[in-house]
Amino acid sequence: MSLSVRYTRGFLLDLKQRLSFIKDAHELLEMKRDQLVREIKKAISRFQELRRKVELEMEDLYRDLAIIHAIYGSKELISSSRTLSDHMEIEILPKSIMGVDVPEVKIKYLPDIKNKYPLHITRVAEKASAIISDLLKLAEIESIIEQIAEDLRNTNVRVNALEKVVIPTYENLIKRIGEIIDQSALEEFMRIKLVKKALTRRRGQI
Amino acid sequence: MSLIYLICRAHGYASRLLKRELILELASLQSLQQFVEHLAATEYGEKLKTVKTLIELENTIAEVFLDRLRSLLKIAEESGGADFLKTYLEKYDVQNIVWLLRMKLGKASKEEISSLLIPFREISKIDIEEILEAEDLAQALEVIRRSKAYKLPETVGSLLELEAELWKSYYMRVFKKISSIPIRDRVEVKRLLGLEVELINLRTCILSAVKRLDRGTAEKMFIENPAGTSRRKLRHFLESYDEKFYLEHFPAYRSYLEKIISGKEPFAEIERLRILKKFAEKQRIPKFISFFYVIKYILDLEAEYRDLRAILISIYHGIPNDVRLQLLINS
Repeated sequence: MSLSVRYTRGFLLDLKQRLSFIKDAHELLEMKRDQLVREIKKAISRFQELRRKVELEMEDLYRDLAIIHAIYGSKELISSSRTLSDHMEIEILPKSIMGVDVPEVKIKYLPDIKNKYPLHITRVAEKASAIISDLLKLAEIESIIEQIAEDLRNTNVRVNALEKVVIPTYENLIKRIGEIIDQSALEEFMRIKLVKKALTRRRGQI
Repeated sequence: MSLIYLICRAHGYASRLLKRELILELASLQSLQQFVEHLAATEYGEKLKTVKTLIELENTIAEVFLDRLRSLLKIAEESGGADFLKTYLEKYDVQNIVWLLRMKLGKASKEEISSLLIPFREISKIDIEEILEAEDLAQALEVIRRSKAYKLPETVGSLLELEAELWKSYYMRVFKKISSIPIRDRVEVKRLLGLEVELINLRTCILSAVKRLDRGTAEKMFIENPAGTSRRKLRHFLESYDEKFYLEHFPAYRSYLEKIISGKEPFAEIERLRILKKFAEKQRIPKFISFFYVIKYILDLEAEYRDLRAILISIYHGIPNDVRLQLLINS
């Protein structure tokens, strides 16, 4: 941090104002950091819960799929997987959490799979469709966690920089300038006193 | 040559089918390499030597199955019975068309679709190449309509209805062709086909009863069954009863019906094939020299093909041994 230091009362006053502003900013950043920590904790617990659910659902789905594959063969499975001509449509909207831009995934259109798949595939297709919605939610939360974590890291760096570097530097500078100003005021006082004494002495001789 | 020659050859060919013990042994294996090694001394051995991937293994097993059907068909052409057999085996043609249409719906390329089809053109009623060339599903359906091989309505509500229409045409033709086989053997063949259709129709009924299929679609999917419950009666069942009715009314198929009700449809498919196989086995003893034996042999062939396919895919996915046994028709 480089500051062109002037040892004046005006500059000291300016520094004190700046320090007060920095302290306010530090306090606000601390509040933001605490809130981000709360948000990330909330997101992580939601993520863990949903991930556990999705993992179980995926296991179940793969088990069913393996059984269908074994009973009907690869060709039946491949051809069945191509029967849905509709595609799922999603929209990714930006959302702000404590000033952090995070994505919000909205499913705009989910194809209706009833009567679209061969009857023996329908159940697995329904399960897969439900899991896709959960996977999207999982991706959304994962992205929220990533974005908040990145911002949290930056906020933490700022808070630490203010706390450990900027504020102490300003305080030291204020203290040093204050001391120098006090010292020069004392010197000035002494000088005036001496001049006064010399003048009084000179007047007495006359 | 007479039809008896075909029946005797079918008996001879049946001795080449894999023994149940070997099938069960295969089902307990842990790797595809072991699977290939265990089949080395059989008809599959030579062909399996060079294959590496799952899909290649599947295709090789299918190849052996089709070669066996071709041999049977060749003898049938010389000794009679080919007329019915060709029509009966058209189910693989229907299967091809079903896969083809699904892929067309999904805008798959010609190459992708070709790689999927069962290479059994000898029995095909339709020029598959022409359907492959079609630009979209609508054009493909037009080709099928033009061929007059399958009756398709002008408007088709869903893929399920479309597939059902193809199967309806197939069964109608097979039932008609029963008249081409000797009178003394017709009853068993008709009953077997009736049973096949009955099980398909009951599945449609139950799926509608448990609300997994629209009633309107279900009604359109019923296949006319001259040797089983009529469509009119099935429609009445559909309107009046819930799934429990079917369990009480058709106790012989209880295990099959229960699996559909509980949502275990893939297992119901295995149960369906087991019921058909059991039916064919029951008829075998009193009618040893019968054309029905040829049909039974075809069922056995298909059961072996499907069992081997199920085993190798189970090994590939690491499905537990106890579950593998549930996937076998010959368990």
